[in-house]
Amino acid sequence: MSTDNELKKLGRKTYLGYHQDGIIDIILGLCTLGFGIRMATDSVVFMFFSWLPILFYLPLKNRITVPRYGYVRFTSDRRTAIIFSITLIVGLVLLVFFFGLYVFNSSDGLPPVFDDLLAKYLMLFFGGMVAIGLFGAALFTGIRRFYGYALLFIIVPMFGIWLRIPEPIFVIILGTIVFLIGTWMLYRFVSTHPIAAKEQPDVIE
Amino acid sequence: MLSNEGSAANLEPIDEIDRTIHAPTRLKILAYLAIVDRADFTYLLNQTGLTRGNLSANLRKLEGVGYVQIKKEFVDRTPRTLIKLTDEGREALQTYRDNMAIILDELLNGKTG
Repeated sequence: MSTDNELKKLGRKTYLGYHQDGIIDIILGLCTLGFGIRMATDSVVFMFFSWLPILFYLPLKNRITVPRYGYVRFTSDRRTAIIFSITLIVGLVLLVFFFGLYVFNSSDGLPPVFDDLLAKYLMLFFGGMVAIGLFGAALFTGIRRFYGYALLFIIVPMFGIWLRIPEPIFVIILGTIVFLIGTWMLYRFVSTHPIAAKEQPDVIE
Repeated sequence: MLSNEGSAANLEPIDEIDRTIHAPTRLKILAYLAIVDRADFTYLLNQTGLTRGNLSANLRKLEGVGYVQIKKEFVDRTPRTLIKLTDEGREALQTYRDNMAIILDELLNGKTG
């Protein structure tokens, strides 16, 4: 029935509007940036900092989005899509991380041919894993710009390898691009959604 | 044009139209609540484009007939009014949609039943 479709469209518009604040992009950008700085500095501290921005997602959402857009609890299918997407991305990143740890720590390591391939294309492999996660996130949540990010996480490492740019540099470039997109979206969101005046209470008694 | 070839359009469902829902402002409110699990006053204010007073008055009406449930809570010492479409409200909205579909079908195509 067409009215069902109209309601679905309305639901999708509302859901996408709620995620047009750029916060998720800023977090993703900062995590990537932190990971790149960690690679450049070889600092354990940045290893920790690269994950830290995730903890700020909900506080930022409550402080920036809720007062402007309003609080919305979406239907369970949409919430499941978000949880699934986050699990997919974190799962894939952890998989790569532990795989790397295993390879570095095992006495035999991988056969030389794989060793060489990994050494040369490690960042492409890593970017590909994140891209799969982002592609899944775009598919399940319907947030289309994640398709663009997925592509970016493959294209930038490819160019980086081709142009022989040091790995940490192109990871930092990647993080900066995503962070800047998020910041621009946040600016646009804040400009178009001013906070309602505080002296006006919710008037339902 | 109400019907084809003189056959009277069946417009009985018009009498069954729920007037509480039929008002455009309340229909808008219910539609925006139907697509979420629950939402607060600010969300409805932004989405419907109504004034605070108008939204508040219409929400009270909807609460009065049991179509929405309104709950106040405090988040960081700030009051938040949460609004949820009840099962009864969801059912009423569905019935309204079905009736309207029949009526529009009758009016536009002159179909019966």
